[in-house]
Amino acid sequence: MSAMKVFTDPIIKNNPIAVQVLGICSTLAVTTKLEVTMVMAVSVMTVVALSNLFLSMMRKLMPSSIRLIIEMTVVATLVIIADQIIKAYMFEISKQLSVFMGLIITNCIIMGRAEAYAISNPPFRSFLDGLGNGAGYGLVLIIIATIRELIGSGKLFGLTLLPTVNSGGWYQPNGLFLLAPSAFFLIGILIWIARLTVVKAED
Amino acid sequence: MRRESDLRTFLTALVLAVVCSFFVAGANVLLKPRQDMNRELERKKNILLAAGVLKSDTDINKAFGSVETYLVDMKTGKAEKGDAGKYFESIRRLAASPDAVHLSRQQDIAVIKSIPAKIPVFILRGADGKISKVVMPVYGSGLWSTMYGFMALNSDLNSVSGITFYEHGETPGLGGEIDNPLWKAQWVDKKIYGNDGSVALSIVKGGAHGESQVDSLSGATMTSRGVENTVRFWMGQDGFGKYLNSLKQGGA
Repeated sequence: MSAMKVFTDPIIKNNPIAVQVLGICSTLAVTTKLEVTMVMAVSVMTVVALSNLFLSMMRKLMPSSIRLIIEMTVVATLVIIADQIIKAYMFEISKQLSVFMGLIITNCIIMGRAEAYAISNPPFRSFLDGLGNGAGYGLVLIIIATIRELIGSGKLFGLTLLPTVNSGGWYQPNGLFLLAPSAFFLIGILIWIARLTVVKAED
Repeated sequence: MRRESDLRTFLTALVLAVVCSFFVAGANVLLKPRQDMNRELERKKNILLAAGVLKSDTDINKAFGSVETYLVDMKTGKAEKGDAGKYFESIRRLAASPDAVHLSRQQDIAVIKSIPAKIPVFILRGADGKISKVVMPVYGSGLWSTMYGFMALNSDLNSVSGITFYEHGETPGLGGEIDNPLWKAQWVDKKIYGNDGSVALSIVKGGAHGESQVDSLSGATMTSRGVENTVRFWMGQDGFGKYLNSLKQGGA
């Protein structure tokens, strides 16, 4: 597989959320506002790319008996650093991400890519694989956040597009879209579309 | 040394742990001043917001320069000048410390069990040196979370100047609307106390009228009740009531 394909494959064809069905939990939690979602997507992309890079560099040194522990430690370190940086430089957003930033550690995509790819492939390709999977995750997050923020609060990036009744406009926002279950429906629909198009084309 | 030997495994784990902790500790030390500054700025912003003196172009640090901070002894209602930083960093710990004020079940309408022995209040003065606003930190249980905020009173120590919540975990779109500026605007100039001096303010469903009623949030009965109880507690005799009485009688 060419290096380019390593990066592009997971964005659509092998999308971690829609096709591999990994990392759903955070998708439910951080997709009510587009701005917050973007920060989350970039954070996950950085963490998964760097963890893939470092773990791939260490793959020949790692004793297999503590392999998972080493992976966990590296991922946790990266996540804590990312969390600290966001707390220092993007305070407003960090308040909204709250605990979900730290929970990137438990995002299945990161450990999944480390186990499935990084420990058996060279560093540069692992890095690209991480970037690609992070981008695929981010793409789904952004699609869902766009729908949820627009229908749930009539805004995009915090800018009012549909003035809501509460603020003296005409749009009655659909509160369901601000709650986690709506993301379940949206992800379900996305997975369905992915199955109909991307996966079917392969069979 | 074989890759799978015990010694090798141990050494790998040790080196990794040391390297990783170095990075985590480094990030924490380097970024902490900035994070603390953010939190402090946020707090000042909320205090000014509750006092109703925050405009979009206000320099927060400069505007806060003239705000006086007092520490109120919650048992006696006496106040002395002090620093507020410690309180906000450790409300929970202070409320659980041995000298905290424990609340009986009848007293504890805000469902917070105990409160710190000393709580800061912020006073803004007019050009004539008289008190123009008193801003008090309040907190209490909503539906899901403890809601932390500020309550500001005007110089009559009865009418509301403003209320803000800076930290809560209420349902977005329902209880989370306690952040909504339109809802908060309703509070302005409502009277906290009735003619007999007891807390009269209430949050009512549908059509608030009268000078001590605020409309509840639709779809958020429990959160509204939590806000009402929080305000009733902190403005009452177990909260800042004693302190406000001493202020009324002309104390500092």
